[in-house]
Amino acid sequence: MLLRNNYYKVYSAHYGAEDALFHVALLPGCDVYRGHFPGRPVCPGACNIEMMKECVEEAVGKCVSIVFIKQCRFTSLASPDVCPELDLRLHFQVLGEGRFLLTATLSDAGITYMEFKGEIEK
Amino acid sequence: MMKVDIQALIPQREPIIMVDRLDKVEHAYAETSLEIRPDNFFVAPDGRLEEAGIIEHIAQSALAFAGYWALQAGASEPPVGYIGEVKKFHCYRCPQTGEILHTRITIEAEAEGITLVRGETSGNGTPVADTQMKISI
Repeated sequence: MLLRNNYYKVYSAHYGAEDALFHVALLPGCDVYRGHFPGRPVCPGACNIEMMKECVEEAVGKCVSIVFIKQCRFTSLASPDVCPELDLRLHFQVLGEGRFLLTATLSDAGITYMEFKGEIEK
Repeated sequence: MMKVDIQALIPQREPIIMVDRLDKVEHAYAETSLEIRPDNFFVAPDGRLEEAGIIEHIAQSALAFAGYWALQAGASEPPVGYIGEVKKFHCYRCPQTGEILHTRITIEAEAEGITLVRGETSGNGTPVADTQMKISI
């Protein structure tokens, strides 16, 4: 895990065969905000993709690769100030041996920050 | 090869600078490069650059391109940009520490502060990833 307990930490995690829900906190002291951007911390969209991947790995119990992203939209700017805690919802659909379609949303009570649809390989 | 300090072209600073050089610029086309160093923010413990790191590299490559034109137009600071959308991203492999990534950026459309780019990244002569991306600048 590259970003866990550095960029984010997990408060709670619930997962089954097809769905998972992670409640996470963004860590404002993460080094990444020195550079993104100086004096104006904004979550890099790429970090939210990596956070999602790490939570998928926990939910499926294996290392995974993101082989295809059909669409990943960043619909609002996220930061530890704006959204200190977030819900990451994952839905898995098996496509074939070791390959599945992942739909994910990252949101808090009122705002969605990321919507992801892509293919993952175990 | 162009001699422009990358920090003059992108607003990101360490530890998340994900492009080393803007190597070539033509009208709507640019080439960039990045050496994957062990201390790169997106390098996993096994020494591979994560997919998210490839995406950030392509986004910053497009921003460096935008920063170049902004500088040419007299801007004193590089424009800030955010990834709005990643679409049709194919990752063929996660490259290893020590590889030098080469990325080709083509501007496909620009409207109302949104730039649609195509990025193609390779390393060691083989494809790494390609994608479309919308960037808000």
